[in-house]
Amino acid sequence: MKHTVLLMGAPNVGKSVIFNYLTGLNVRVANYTGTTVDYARGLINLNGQAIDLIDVPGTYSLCATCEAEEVAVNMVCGKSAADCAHSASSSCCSPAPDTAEHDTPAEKPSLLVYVLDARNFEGGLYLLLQLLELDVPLIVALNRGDLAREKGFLVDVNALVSALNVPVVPTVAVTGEGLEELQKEITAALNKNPEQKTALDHERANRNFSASWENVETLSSQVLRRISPTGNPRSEEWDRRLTNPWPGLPLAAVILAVIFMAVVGIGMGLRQFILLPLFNILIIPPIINLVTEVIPAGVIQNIFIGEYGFLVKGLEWPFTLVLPYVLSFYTVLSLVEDSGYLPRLALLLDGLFNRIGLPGSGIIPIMIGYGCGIPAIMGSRALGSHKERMIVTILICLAVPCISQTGAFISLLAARSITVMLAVFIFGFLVMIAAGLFLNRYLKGDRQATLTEIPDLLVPRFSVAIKKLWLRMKLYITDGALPMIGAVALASVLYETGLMAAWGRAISPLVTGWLRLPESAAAPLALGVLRRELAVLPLLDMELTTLQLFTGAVVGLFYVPCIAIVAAVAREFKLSTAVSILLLTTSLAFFAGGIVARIGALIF
Amino acid sequence: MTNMPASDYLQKTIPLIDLSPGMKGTIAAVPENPLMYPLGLRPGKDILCKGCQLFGGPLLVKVDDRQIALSRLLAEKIIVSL
Repeated sequence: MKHTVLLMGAPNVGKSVIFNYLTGLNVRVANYTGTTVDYARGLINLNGQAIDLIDVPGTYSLCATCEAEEVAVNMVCGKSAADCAHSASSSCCSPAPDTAEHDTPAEKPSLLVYVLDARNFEGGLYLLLQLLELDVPLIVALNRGDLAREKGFLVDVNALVSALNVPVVPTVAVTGEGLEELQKEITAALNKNPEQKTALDHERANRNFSASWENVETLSSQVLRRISPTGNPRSEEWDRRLTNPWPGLPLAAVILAVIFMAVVGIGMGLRQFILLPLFNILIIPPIINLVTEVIPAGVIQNIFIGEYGFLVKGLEWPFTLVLPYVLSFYTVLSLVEDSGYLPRLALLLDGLFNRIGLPGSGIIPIMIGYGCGIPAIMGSRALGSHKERMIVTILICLAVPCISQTGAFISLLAARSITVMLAVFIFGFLVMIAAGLFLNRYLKGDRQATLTEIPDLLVPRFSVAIKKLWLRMKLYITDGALPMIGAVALASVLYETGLMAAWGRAISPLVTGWLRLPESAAAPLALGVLRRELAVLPLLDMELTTLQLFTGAVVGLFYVPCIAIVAAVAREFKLSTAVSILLLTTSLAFFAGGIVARIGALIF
Repeated sequence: MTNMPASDYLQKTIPLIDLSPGMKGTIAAVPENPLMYPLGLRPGKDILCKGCQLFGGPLLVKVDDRQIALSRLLAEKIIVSL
């Protein structure tokens, strides 16, 4: 029999780290609330027992306050959560063990593993007491005891066990401490026979602690001990600097500039000194030699190694132009995510972001969007209201270039003039602000008042960052590079068969007349539908003037946000939303491009 | 609002928003919000105001050694006694 085990707990307590350890999978982890927005499942085998382990988004109670938490509540309560929605924005489920849904075997988990944060002990207790009222066996993983000690707290494990009558396993998930014991405890709990389970229920029925905040405080006073903090007092000083407007805001500007320069600098270095020589000297020439020997000159040969030859451009673009920046971006992002700086940035920017209809935490999906829009749009589920999600999604689709496109911009523009590249980014920024102001005014819906925890600043762990980077690399190869090679192959066929030229002539009034670009610039417009960077890359070899480069880059930035993102928006919202966003961004791209070409002509 | 015992009115109570940075108080009442209690904002808890953000941004407070950011709107509705 296959067991279902739910991994539950408050936000940002390390559930996903434990999940990754137990399943060997790699789901996203970070040091802030709301990283897991959908459940992740992994099949594991513990001593011959098949277990379906599910990583549930963090929640503080069986009362959802955002879409991500709704996923969690629905997982443990089944359909009843949706039925007893109290208001439009929150759905609750009362832990009533007598409803029929709870007894449906398909819905009911065999075991709950509750991750309790020793650092924020009280915050996690309420949900634990609620879950103990359900008719499901439960194990507590008491995580982050190391951080609690740094802050001067110690959880008395024995007192906790005897108060609640549940097994408790102390763990430090990021180092793997205690996770083997947790595995053993899971196996033991699943192997208990039915009579033992009844005994467990009986014990629980006699327990003194029903789910109430009074009981949480009583329990915590019985179990939590104060010790002298072992942490570094200097980290608190830094915390103050980073969170006070002065010097926090100027420091934020410096940190963002350093992040930007690190991504561009490391990326350029990787390209110039490692990937470019590797491909241009060692990999591509032998391929060209081989193809010229095997395939006679002509259309077929050109498809392989001609203008858009997919064995040349199809390797050069994904691996020497984009990969370096994917590497540098995700290295830096991993470190920033784990440090706990992003929630502080969100705090500093909250007031400004409110004017564009977003909470400060809207900065997090936007930052992730500079890597790839799809996880960013998924991640926006952690925001409180539909309106906020919609605004973030539109801004990302409109003016946040993914890392592939940024790589293309750097190659296209940085060589000519770094000022033009910065101008494109600043222009994108201004349009984002304008769009945000507009959307905030005209989109219906409300905004939830900001109320969020600022997690401790942590020194990022190298091993965690490497794992995250590895996951990103694999994803880039399968979901980024391979589709790009496919798209280049398609382009190659269209080019060599003359279809591309026909397309160019067809939309020539738009391209040459309105945007003042050469007719061949119609090609990136066709390819850009497939992938964001392909709206820019073909411009590389066209010998354009600086103004034309800028125009092309602006059009590419606002243009179709790649077909995969359109699909993601349709999945997360509605198809009509995706189509509206598509029309909006595309028309804005052409409108802005034409204006830029005209105003630019007056200036230069 | 959660009920406030009559004796609390005799003490000096002010909205959290009026607590100046660096000052401490004890929470007397909090508005209805599903996140208040889990984040430690419960009557009886000591609360420290750490500062206020610019541009109408949130307050940063410390409760139980946890840092919480909360909007001014909510901070107006939280009552603390000094």
